[in-house]
Amino acid sequence: MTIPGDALLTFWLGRFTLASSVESIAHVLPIESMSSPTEDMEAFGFLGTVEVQDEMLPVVNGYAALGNLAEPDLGSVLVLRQMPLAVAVTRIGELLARETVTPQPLPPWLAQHTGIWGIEGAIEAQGLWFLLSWQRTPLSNWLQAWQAIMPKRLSSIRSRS
Amino acid sequence: MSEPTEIRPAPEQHFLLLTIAEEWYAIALDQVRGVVTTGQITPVPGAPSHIIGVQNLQGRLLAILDTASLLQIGSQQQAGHIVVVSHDHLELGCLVRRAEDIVNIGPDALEEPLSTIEAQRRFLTAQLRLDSHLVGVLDVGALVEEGIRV
Repeated sequence: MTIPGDALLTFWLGRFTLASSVESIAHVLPIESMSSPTEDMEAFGFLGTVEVQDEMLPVVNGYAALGNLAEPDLGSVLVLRQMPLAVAVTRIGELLARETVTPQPLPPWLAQHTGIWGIEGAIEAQGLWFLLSWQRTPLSNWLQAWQAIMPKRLSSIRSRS
Repeated sequence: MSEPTEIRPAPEQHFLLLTIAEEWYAIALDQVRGVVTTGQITPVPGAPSHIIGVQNLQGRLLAILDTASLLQIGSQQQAGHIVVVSHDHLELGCLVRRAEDIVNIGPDALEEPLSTIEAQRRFLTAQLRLDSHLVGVLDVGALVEEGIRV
């Protein structure tokens, strides 16, 4: 589906409840739309690729955004708008109108905890959902890895053709 | 001739008496900010291992400490209350089975802690006997500092 308007999209990553501004998400795809990774992609930890508007985007496990690489059940892929990456998550929750929720900050000591990146606060909507700012997560490291792989992938595609 | 010195009895101290798993503990009341009913605790990605999550407490998020796990007395099956404590400007909720009572204890009733669980000794400042219960007096500072450790 294509996400319309300004809202917050809630999603699950294993037992964690998270949310993202829909402005940050271009598309939500089923995990089945992901292609298998090449060997070099797999070596870097990428799960595969998705094709969006003729562009192949690498898919990372959503846990990478949280700073570790546990393997939850993955059911959906969020295609990010602000960086050429897609993030696999367990399942999508619901869309919340932004004006109906106000993020509450985490306790400062918890927010500063080394393992927690990119969580801007929590919103209350039948439970708490942690609002992620994708650009403040460690995903930029994955982008660098992808940029390192890409020239090799292009050359291997050229040599095959 | 000098005036005779007035001898005053040492003041009693107020403690919150509580149960964690099946054990009895007490916390000095001046370190307690409140007691609330356990609600929905949401796990936080990357939180320290003894922090089981956060709970919305009147519009602010309170980190909740798994007190039973920290004290190594098993899992908290029937946690009904959260005791909000503060130490060094840091507020934390301690998951307990139940807040039982508030008691006044004179200094003579406080004994050196003789916990049989070695891991607990650093979290206890004293022990006391109330009815048939042996009650460990918790060191809130030690609990908080260990609880938020990575």
